[in-house]
Parts: sequence; structure tokens; C-alpha cells
Amino acid sequence: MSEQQVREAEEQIVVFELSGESYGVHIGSVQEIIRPPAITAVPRAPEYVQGVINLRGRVIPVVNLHIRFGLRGEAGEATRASRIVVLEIEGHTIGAAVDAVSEVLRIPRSIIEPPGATLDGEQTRHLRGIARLGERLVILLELGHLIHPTEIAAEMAA
Amino acid sequence: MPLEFDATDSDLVLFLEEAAAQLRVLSDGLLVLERESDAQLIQALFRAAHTLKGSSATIGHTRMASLTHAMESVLDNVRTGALTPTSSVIDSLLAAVDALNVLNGEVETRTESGIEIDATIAQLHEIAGRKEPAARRKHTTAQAGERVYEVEVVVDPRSDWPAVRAYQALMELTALGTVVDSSPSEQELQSGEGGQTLLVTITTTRAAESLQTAAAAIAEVVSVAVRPLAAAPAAKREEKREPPAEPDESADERRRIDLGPELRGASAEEQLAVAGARMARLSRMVKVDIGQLDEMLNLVGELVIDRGRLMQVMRELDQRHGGDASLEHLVDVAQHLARVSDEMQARVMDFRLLPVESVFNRFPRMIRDLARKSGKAIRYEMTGGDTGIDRSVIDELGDPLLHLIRNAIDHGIELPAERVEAGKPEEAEIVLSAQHVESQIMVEVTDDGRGIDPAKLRAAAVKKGLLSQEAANRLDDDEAINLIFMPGFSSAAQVTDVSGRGVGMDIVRTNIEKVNGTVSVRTELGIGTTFTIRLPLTLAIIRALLVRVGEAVFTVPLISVQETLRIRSDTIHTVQGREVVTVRERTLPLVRLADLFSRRGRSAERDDGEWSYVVSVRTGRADLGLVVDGLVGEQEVVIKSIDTTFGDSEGIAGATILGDGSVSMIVDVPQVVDGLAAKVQSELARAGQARMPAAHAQGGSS
Repeated sequence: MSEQQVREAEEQIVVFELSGESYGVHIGSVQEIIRPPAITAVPRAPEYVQGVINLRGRVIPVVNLHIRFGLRGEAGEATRASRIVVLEIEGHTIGAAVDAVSEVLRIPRSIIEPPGATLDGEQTRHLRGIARLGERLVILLELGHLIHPTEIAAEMAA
Repeated sequence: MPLEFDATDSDLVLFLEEAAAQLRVLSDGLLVLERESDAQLIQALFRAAHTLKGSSATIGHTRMASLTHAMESVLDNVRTGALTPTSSVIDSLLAAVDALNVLNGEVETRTESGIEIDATIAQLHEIAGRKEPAARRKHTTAQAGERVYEVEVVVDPRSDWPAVRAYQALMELTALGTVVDSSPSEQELQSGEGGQTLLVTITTTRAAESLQTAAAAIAEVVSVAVRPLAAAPAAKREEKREPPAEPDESADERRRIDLGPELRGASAEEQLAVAGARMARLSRMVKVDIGQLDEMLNLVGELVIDRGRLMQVMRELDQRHGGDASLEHLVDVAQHLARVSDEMQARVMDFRLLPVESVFNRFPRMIRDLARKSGKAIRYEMTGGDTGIDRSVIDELGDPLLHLIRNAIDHGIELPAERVEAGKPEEAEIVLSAQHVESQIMVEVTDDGRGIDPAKLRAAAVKKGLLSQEAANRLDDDEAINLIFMPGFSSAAQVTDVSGRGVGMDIVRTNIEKVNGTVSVRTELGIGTTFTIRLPLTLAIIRALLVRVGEAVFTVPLISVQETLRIRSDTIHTVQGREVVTVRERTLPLVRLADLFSRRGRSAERDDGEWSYVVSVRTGRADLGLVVDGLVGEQEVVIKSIDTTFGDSEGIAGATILGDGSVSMIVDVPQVVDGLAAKVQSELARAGQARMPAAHAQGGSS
């Protein structure tokens, strides 16, 4: 296998922690990672919108991934390790509040399994797959679902 | 279809500049001409048409040249007194100006518009009585110092447009002197006849070389022969031997920039000087895309925010370490920075300012046309046209003004007979005015028509089922007049094609409030009506009141704030399940921002201190008191939009960044007021009692 092929067969993911689970997003969609500034609540916004923050003069929404993706466990208290992962999704800049950002990993595509194999139905909808790294499981999120309202509507109807 | 012109891009830019100026002269001047005939004005109009004809022919825009030529013929007859500029003559000329604007647009976009101008031209020729100005010019004898030449221009036989080239050459020559005769004639050339050889007889003060150079510069002209025919009888001998020397550059200069006929008699040096100055002026101007200015304003906006933050940090540091020498130095620098950023903000805002005239100028023509259509006599006046207003605001101002003016003509202004009967001058007046008032721009539309009758509005509201008779009776006159801003309300007895269906005023109000403006009306029966629009100077930065609600700071645009009140909490009463407070004998319905903005309608914890703070706000629809926990202060804020991916937030107009870097929500006051009004209305409707929304819960203090 040439080096080129190796690179094609790999991808870089940003791994973050949310109530004890590891989640991963493709590095290309991460614009930056910041310490949480003051978050301003947006009146009457959906529950999963935690509020908005000032990102160098831009006002961007911060999403609670727990509620948005219906993830397992409960959102943790803010700690020193808490971060906001600023995501660039289809032209929208959106912050995601996480408990901690652990590392950037280079993983072979071949180890990504479809979500159904490990997790049950309700949670798999927004998942790209699961990366099994020895003992660890990193859940890869399908970020497009973060912003498409149709997805939510379908969810509500279901 | 893409169009190509016989000129370079920079020539076209010059052409467009020149043409815009001439078109303004024509459209403004014609409206004045209709009112008063003035020799100088007619001369100016004629010159404008003539100049346009010349320059459009130069760039090869033959349709524009034909049209301006026809206008020129009509104006020439007006000039000589052979034709009186009646309204129908003006109508035709204005129609031609409209067409010219379209043709001019073709140059700008380099695309053919497909406009049909033959009928317009035919009509103008008909008006001109088929008189050919050239025919009369034939009798003109050469003046002192003029010489007569015969110029023969030969166009390349392979040319696709020999007539066009010959026409261009003819136009060039026309600009240099008086064409006595030409074969083929201008008209023949315009209709595309002949043209391979052009024979022109011309009287001019110019040297033969100038004529030669001018004609030879036209594309595809292969030869030009200039033959002197005879000197003018009055010409002195010396001049014969020594024709006025004229550098060829002047002719070249002319081709690039039309100096305008007023300079045609000027000396070559003068012409060169003027042309040079004009070029210099142009080269000192830089064209900037409006998008770049917007970007610049955004950046400056951030600077303004940082300035606020910096000042706040400075204050904190000063409290902690007051008296420290290097801190004082830092304070000096920070203050200077603040001044510079203030200045910079002001300058960038200035770049974006356009005179409000650019909106006002749309209306004289419209008023004239509507007046003619409705059989009313109307004089239009405008003041403060040079008042600067931000580009973004200008875009929001045009439609509301259009509507107000249409309304004034349709509903406000009486027919002449009616006015005479009422002892008013037959001619009505519409005045548009603009001025800066504090940090706002105030635009007023005033008519001296019949005014708005509150009694009629009350009756109409009852008839339309918007109000009960009882509720209508309770409204005072001002409140009744404000009914015109209610959705779906129109007092017009019939729908006319002037102001259309009665959807107008509430849309005017909604659009203006959307950009943090207000609209109000003053009227006196039989005397007239004034609509006043107030808008912020820019849409990006507004003055605002910051209020505290629990932990959060909300921003209320100052334009909708009437006053702030500190009231004893126990003076708040409940009327029909709504909290109200009586202020100076008027009942103000209250909304607790904390309740309004609590998540999912949960009632927020109430901070029931002894005192409550109320921000009294007003929109076109009603007054309302916003109950808050505290007042933070007043400041300029930069409006930021919020990503609407996760839905619109009702009652929130946007966000802004405060001095400490945190984000504050901007309260959408009109939406809050309307929302409440709608709620009250539906509640009351359920109670089987339709009445006026929100503002006027009389007897609340019982």
C-alpha cells in the first residue's frame, strides 16, 4: 500500500467527551475549539439551543448535543474542562457544548462500523458509525442532522 | 442580446456620467417647463437633447441618437416659438425621456432591452410638424470669423454599417460647427439609407484640420476631404490668412469627453483646461463596491464594541489601581483609541450616505402623472433634499414614501372645484421634507388636502367589524386617526388605481418598524395631513436602552422608548386578567419581559420588590409598558443577526454585543406589542366583545 493510499484510507477526527462517552466529528467540520464564554439564553428558542455566544464579534448559537441528538446520559455540569466545539456545517457556524475535548485521532476508515451493529435504534439516527479502537468506542456523529429542521419534524412525528 | 458599442469601456463610463446628467436636466426641466415657459430653460433642454444626440451617436448608439434627434426637433420648435409646450407635448417628451432612460440602461448593462421606440419617435416628429430644423438652418449665413467648408467623408465599402459611420461623422462635424447641408441628410442616414459617401456643408470657426481629424477618427472612414467654399462675408482678411490656430488635441479631447455645447464657443485653451480638470476630478474618485463598504462598517462596528469593552476594563482597573502612572498612560492611549474609532465610525457612515434626493427625485414625475390622471392640480415641493441618509435606509424609504404620496393624491387632495369652494387655492401642494433630528432622519409628507376625519374612521371601523360602536366612541380623535394603521383598514370609498386596495398604511407601518423606524400622522380637517417617518441614520448601529431581567440584559431600541418609569409595585392593578398601571391618567397595559421571554411559557420567578421599573414603549399601534428588573443604561449598539437555523425567536429582533463581550438580545418592540394586541383581541373576542387592542383599557385604576 502506497503512502497515498494509506492517507485515503484514513481520516482525522476530533474526539470529545460527553457524559462519559467519546464522540467524534470529522476534523474538516471543526473550525476551532474554545473555552465557553458567557452564554446568553435565547427566549423561546428550542430546548436544545443553549443560547448564543460572541465569537469575535459574531453571534453564533450553541447547541446542547444531548438534547439535540437524544444522546444517552445527562449533560454534565460545566467544569474547567468544558469546551465549545465550533462547527462549520453547510455554511452555518454552530457551537456544540462538550464536557471535554480529548484528542485528535487518525483512524483507518476500515474500523468504522455501521451504528446498528452496536447501538440500539433510537440513538443511531444521527450517527455515522462507531470506531472501535481497542477497548474504546468512539461514536461518530452525522453533523448534517444538526441543522436540518426537517429531521426534527420527522423525529417529532415519529 | 448583448450589445457592443463603438467605444472603449472608459469612454462608456464617461458617456454614462454625461448622459445621466443630461437625462436629469431633461426630466427635471420638462416638469418645470410645463408650469412656466422660460427661454433659458428651453435653451438648456435643447442643449441637453443635442448633447445626448451627439454623444450617443459617438458611441454608436443609433437608436438613442434617433430619439434624441426627434426630441431636439420638438424642442427646437419650442425654442423658436413655433410650438407651445402643452401638457400633451410634455407628455410625449417625457415618454421619450423614459425611453432614453431605458436606452441608457442598455449602455450600462451592455444588453439590448428590446424597447420599441419607433412610435415615440414618430409621435415626436409629428409634433415637430415635420419641420426640419436643418431646412431653416440653410438660410443661416456665416457669422463673423466663420468659414464655410465642404467635407467629403468616404466610408470603407466593406463596412457593415456605412450609414452609421457616416452618421457618426456627421455628428462629429455637427459638434464643431453648423451643418448647413448634408447629403445624405441626417434623417436618411438614421433610417440607414446610403452613407458610403457623405457630403457635408458646414460653417465653423474651426480650422479645416479640426474637421478633418474629427471625421477621420470615426472607425471605418477611409478618407476625408475638406474644401473651403467661401469665407463669411464679414470675416476679416487677416483671419483668412491666419485661421484661428487650434491644436488638434482639442478635437481629440472632444471625442473622449463631450464638453457640452456651452463650451463649444470657448477657446481651445479653455476647453482643454476644462477637460483636464474633469479628467483630474474623475481620476481622483475611486469606485467602491457597496459590499466592501458594508464589510468595512461591520469591522468598524467591532471596533466600536471593543472600544466599549476597553473602556469598561479601564474603569475597573482604575478603581483597583487608581493613581498608577503607567495605568494613567494606558488610559490616555485607550481614550485616544476610542476617539479615533468614533471618528472612523463617523467617516465610514459618511461614505455610505446618499442625499435623500435620490429617493425624492422619483416623485415629481409620479405626482405629475397621477395628478393628470385624477384631474387634480398639484404642486410638488421638496426641502432638505441634500440631507444625507444611509444607503441601507434609502432602500427602505422608497416604498413607504411612494405609498404615502399616492394616498395623499388619492384621498387627501380634493378636486380643484372642491378646493375653490372651500376657499383654498385651486392648486394643491405636496411637500416632501427631510432633516436630521438628533440621531434620526425625519421625513415628512405634507399635503394641504381635506385632512382625515376621525368620525369617518370610527364609523368605518365599526362598519368593518373591527370595533364595537361603544369601543369606537371611546377613542379620542388621535386614537381614531391612528386606526388607518390597522391591518386591512381603508377609508377610501372606492378602490382606485391610484392608491389601490386598502392594504397600504399598515404595510407602510410594518415596513418602517421593521427597520426600527416609526411613522405617525398629524391631520387637521380641511387643512391637510402630515405623515412623519423617523428612521435611524443607519440600520447597523442604533441607540438603545439596556434593561436587566433577572440575570440577563436585554436591549430595547431607543426609537420605540417613550420614557422609563419607576413605580411602586403596589400601584400595578389587574384589569380583565391583565396587569396595567395608570400613568398621568392614562392606563398603560404591562408586559413582564421575564414572563414573555421565559422558556416554554413557564412563569419566571417574580422579583416583587417595593419598586418596579417600567419602560414605556410606543409603536404605531399602541403603547405598552415593559416591566423589567432594572435599568442598565443607554448606549449605541451594533445590530447582529442571529442564525435562524433553529427557528425565529418571536419578540427578538437580533442580538448585540455588550461592553463586557456578552451577547444581549434586542427586543422586537413592534412584534411584542402586536403579539400582545392580537392576544388581547382574541381573548376579548372570546369574551364576545370586539374592541380596540391593548392601548386603551380605560378605567383601569378602579
